[in-house]
Amino acid sequence: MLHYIVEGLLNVLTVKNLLLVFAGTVSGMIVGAMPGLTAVMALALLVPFTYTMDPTSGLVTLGAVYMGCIYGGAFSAILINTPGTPSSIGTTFDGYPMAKKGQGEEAIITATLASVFGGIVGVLALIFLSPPLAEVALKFGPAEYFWIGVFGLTIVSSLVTGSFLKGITGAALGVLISTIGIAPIGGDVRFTFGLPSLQGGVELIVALIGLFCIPEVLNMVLKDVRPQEVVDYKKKKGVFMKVFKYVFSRPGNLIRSSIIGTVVGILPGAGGNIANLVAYNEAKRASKEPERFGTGIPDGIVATEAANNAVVGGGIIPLVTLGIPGAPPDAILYGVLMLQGLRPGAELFKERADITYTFMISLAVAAIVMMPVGIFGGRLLTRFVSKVPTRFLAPGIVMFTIIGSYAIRNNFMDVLLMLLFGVLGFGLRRLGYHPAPIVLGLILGPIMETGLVQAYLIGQKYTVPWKILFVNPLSWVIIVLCILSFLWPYYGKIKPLFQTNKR
Amino acid sequence: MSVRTRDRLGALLLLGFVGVLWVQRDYLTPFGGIFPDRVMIILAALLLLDLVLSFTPYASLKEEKSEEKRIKTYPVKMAVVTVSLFLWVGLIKYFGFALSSIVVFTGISWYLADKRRKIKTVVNSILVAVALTLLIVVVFEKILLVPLPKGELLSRHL
Repeated sequence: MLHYIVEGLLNVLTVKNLLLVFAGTVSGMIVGAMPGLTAVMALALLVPFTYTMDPTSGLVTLGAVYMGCIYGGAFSAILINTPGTPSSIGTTFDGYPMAKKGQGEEAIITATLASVFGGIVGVLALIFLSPPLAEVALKFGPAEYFWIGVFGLTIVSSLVTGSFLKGITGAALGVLISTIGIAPIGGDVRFTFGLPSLQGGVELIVALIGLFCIPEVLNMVLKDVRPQEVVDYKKKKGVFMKVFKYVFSRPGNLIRSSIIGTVVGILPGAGGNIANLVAYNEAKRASKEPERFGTGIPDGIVATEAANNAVVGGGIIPLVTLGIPGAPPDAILYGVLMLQGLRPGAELFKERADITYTFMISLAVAAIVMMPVGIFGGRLLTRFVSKVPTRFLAPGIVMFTIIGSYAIRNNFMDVLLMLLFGVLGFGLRRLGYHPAPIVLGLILGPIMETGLVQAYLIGQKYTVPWKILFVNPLSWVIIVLCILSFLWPYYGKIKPLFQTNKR
Repeated sequence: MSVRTRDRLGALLLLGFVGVLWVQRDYLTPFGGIFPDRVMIILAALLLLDLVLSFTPYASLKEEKSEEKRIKTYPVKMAVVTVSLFLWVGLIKYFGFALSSIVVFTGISWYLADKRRKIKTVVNSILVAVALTLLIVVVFEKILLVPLPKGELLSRHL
């Protein structure tokens, strides 16, 4: 493994890749700092830039965009009181009060240091946990892959949306849409409405761009989002060292929040939006002065920013070991890997370990690049992006979605399909169906179908072929996880009742 | 829209979608339907459950819990932009990316502006549309070599 790490490091430290990391980080920060634009959207909008790149350069760029975007969300959270991305919701609680007190620079530096630390912890977990997990994943047969798919769907349904029923319904809808086109086993052409362009199935990136970007554009117009006032600050001498000493004199909060971010990232479908709030809550619980949280203290920012950037590395762990995206932005990375001819999953470590390690190391480099860019350019960037009016931003985003969906196969039908998915996604969101479970369903559908049908074929040796799904102990481990994730939301509802009874 | 209405509408629309796919079932091998048939049955069951729950006191509980802030929305603006997006895609087919983007971008940015009657607004919209389109064409087509949609009419006549 060590020689792959060294090789990856040397690959990243080329002038070309360093420039791509820098450009990706800055682009990600620009999109992240714009309130309402998420990390998924940043990746979806910037995907077309990587179409003609080689796989390594494409992944390095998008990894940097992802890292930069999550960090960029902190700027608007601190200086405008509006989280740039949902991953920075918790940062507004203490960041904005700090900025209002004239400590904007301190808040930005705190967010930067925590983001860099969290980002690196996530990447370290990615580098050191992925290979052994990939070894386990290589032992999986079709039945286990089927159950892993079920596990992914149940966990995303319980974590991402407010309603488990709506979440699992959305996930099942995504799975059903994934069956459009040619069946992976048997080759049946299904549900194409007689349209030859649907025979190849729904192109994943097209669906992702549509489902994640167009609804945001329509929401922007529907709510008439206006540019907001930025709380300005003057640069002071010696602030960096003062904040540095403060943040690292309390390593408990940093480490705990980074671990929370990594673990939440590993859970399929859950991302920074959950991690930052969980970490904030835990930091408050562990603090000796919980009443000061929310009044403008650095500890709150440390918790949320360390956690959300740790999600980046953590979320990629299931992607490179099981082929399942850990967080919604990883779904775009999944699509890009597929486009580049790489199959996400444990085989990546065997077949293309060079690319895999280069990508992982580039994330750590992106986390380090964030520091100078954020500290010196963060305030300027926020002032610039917060002034872009919706009337230019909305059609500008649509331009990128058109390029992104067209350039995959040079197919005009894909642009139309992207728009249809976008309008459908907007409508479904209004009806209470979140896009994240639908997207995960789209990704997991083929994995589950292949697993189920292959297991059924192998199971012909049994009187009841479906018995094959329950014979392997590994299957049972995943089934238990499925049951736990299914019951989790109900436990959350019942727990307060037990506590009341005890009292 | 109340939570009850939202749930009912969502469940009925998606049940309709499942129904359309169910009617289309026409498998040639025994493996084609193993998975999608089961998914359709599960999805229909979940949607029926959602539909039934919307008629029970559970829905009223959800209604009370729903704390969606009432903010002013602009549905007409949104509808106009949605139609413009389809028009944009339609125009791209015939006139290509650059020309149709300049036209529709200008139209949308002018329509969403506060002071539409001012000449400055119109000029700003045109300038931003032309500048952004040119930038994108240069970056994608000339530097990154990513193909942009060519219009059927223009490519036929040029």
